[in-house]
Amino acid sequence: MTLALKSWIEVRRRLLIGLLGWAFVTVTFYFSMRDDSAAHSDTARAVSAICSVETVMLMCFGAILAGSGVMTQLCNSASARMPDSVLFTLALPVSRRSLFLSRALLGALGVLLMMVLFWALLPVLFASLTGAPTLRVLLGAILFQLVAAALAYSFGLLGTCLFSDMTLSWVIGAAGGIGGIGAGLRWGPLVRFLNFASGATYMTTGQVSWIGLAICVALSCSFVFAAVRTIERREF
Amino acid sequence: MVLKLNTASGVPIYLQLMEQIKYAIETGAVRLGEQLPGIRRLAEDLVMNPNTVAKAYRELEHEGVIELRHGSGAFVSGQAGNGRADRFERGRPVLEAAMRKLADFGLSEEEMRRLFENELNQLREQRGRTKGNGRAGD
Amino acid sequence: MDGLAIDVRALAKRYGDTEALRGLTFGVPRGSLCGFLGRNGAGKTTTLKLLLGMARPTAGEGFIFGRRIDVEAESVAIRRETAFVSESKDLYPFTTVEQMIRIARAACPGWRADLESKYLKLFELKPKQKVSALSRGNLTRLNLLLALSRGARLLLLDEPTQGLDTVVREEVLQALVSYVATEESTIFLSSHELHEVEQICDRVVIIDHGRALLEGELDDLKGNYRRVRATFPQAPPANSWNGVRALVQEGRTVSMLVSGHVDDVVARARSMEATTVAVDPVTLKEIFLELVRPDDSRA
Repeated sequence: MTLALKSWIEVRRRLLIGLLGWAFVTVTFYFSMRDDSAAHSDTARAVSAICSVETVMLMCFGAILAGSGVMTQLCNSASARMPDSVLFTLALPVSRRSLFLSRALLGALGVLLMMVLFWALLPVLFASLTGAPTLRVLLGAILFQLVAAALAYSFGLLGTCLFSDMTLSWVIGAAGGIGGIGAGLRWGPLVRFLNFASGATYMTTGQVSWIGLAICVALSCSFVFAAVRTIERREF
Repeated sequence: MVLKLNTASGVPIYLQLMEQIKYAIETGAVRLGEQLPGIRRLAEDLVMNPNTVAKAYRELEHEGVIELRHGSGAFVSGQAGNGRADRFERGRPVLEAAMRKLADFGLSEEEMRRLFENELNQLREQRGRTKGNGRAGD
Repeated sequence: MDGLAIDVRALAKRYGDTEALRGLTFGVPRGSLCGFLGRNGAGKTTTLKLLLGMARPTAGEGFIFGRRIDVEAESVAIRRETAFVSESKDLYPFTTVEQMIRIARAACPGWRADLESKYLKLFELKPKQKVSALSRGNLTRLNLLLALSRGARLLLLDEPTQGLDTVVREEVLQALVSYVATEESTIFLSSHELHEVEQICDRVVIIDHGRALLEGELDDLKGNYRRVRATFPQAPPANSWNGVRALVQEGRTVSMLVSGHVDDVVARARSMEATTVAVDPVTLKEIFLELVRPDDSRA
């Protein structure tokens, strides 16, 4: 609670950008799917298309939200010009771990918000495209999205600690854009990967790799752990 | 009590403060037995270090010029004026005579002032050194 | 170590190829208002950062109220009792005065609501005003409010009066003096304004090239140093004055900055048949300039 207001102030702009971007892409995609009558006949393709797009977007916007702000600006030389508001933060009687995690938590809540909104939309999307979704399909979508989002977000956190905040956001955003294009162009390997990661494969075929999911969860935890360690050792 | 301190003069501020308080007493600006401003109040008003004010007050008490009454504050001591006001009165004609002589030599006011300040600095130096030697254990 | 608010021993800090601090040692007793003087690049800001745990020393150790500055857990405890104002005074953009106060209040357990209202009124800050729209003077006032309301026992200030107009300067100095007088705290401030340091500080630490040149009570310092000017019938030979700093010789007049053994120097001058010998006190500025300037005549 001590850092709630501070974290909120740091995250709110990014959250707004992320939500607007997410809403824009989702709505555009929805309308394009609705008008594409070919998709209506093929359930599998429809499902995988929706989910893969959502996953890519979660990863992009999640990365933006992961940006921890000025605290992770690289500064190794004594004379480099620093954004001194970080000095105000560091002078507070709070451990670096708390500072970092409270910010990360709020960003994570932002990503979670995007996911929840998508899950709320999911029945509507499915209903208009392929009929009412089953519970299994819904749960599947939720599970895979959670894991994919956690992985991407934690990777984003680590990235912003190791590299400059801005560059990482743009790199992931660009990758997402390229990935989206690749998916749109139906590039085989990428589409298969996205289908699997977003749970589309599970939803259509019932196949799930529990080991894969476990590895993703473990990776997410290690990324966060490494990020905290990095920020604790950072010099300003 | 209106005090004027000069940080650029090179003379330690606590000494300046002591001199000015003594002067205020000698000229009757502050009367015997009257209360002086508290340390904190004086420090805030003059925007100077409270420890320095405390030091000046302690020295003045040491010299018997003021009394520090625990809990009530600083008061001009009864004996402070006696003898000092007297000396002041006796000193005045000495200075008047000297100034008339210097004027006869043809010195301007400005030159007289410079000569006087120079001699005063020398005197202060001498006094300061002997005082320092005497209070080594302080 | 007892009674010291700040205790720094042989502190060293290297950034890549640059040695910002090379064996810095000094102490600041509790209750003092201590000035931290040094040229730009001498290591003042680095020292403050190390004290607050923003960076780790390469060697040496430091303690604030007995706690180690290089152990994170202790550093957090240090910061509960220590407030800081940076040189740039940057706060979070897109916040208001009120929000900054709330953030600081939430993060600092010892927050003093009474001091907060006192300074809010004294500095005439408007709660709804945007931080990014504050003038330099008001930004400094806000930083000062945030630091002084933390109920800290130690204030570390990096050039608190930089860029301020005369009126605000005096207000800041008065607030600091008042704080020390009423709150039983210690203030350690770095500054280039020597006359301000002379005005309110009772101690100084002078740092140059990452080392402490001098530390002590300001009154002692000014008591020790004198400028001796002597005029001779003939110009005395150049190395008559070993052991004296800052010697300037112009024809038959010699001007020297002497520390400690003034009487010896005066006696020596008289023995060389000086026609006039004048001994005058010096300002902190003269002492500082002399100490940080490379001096060939230094013994």
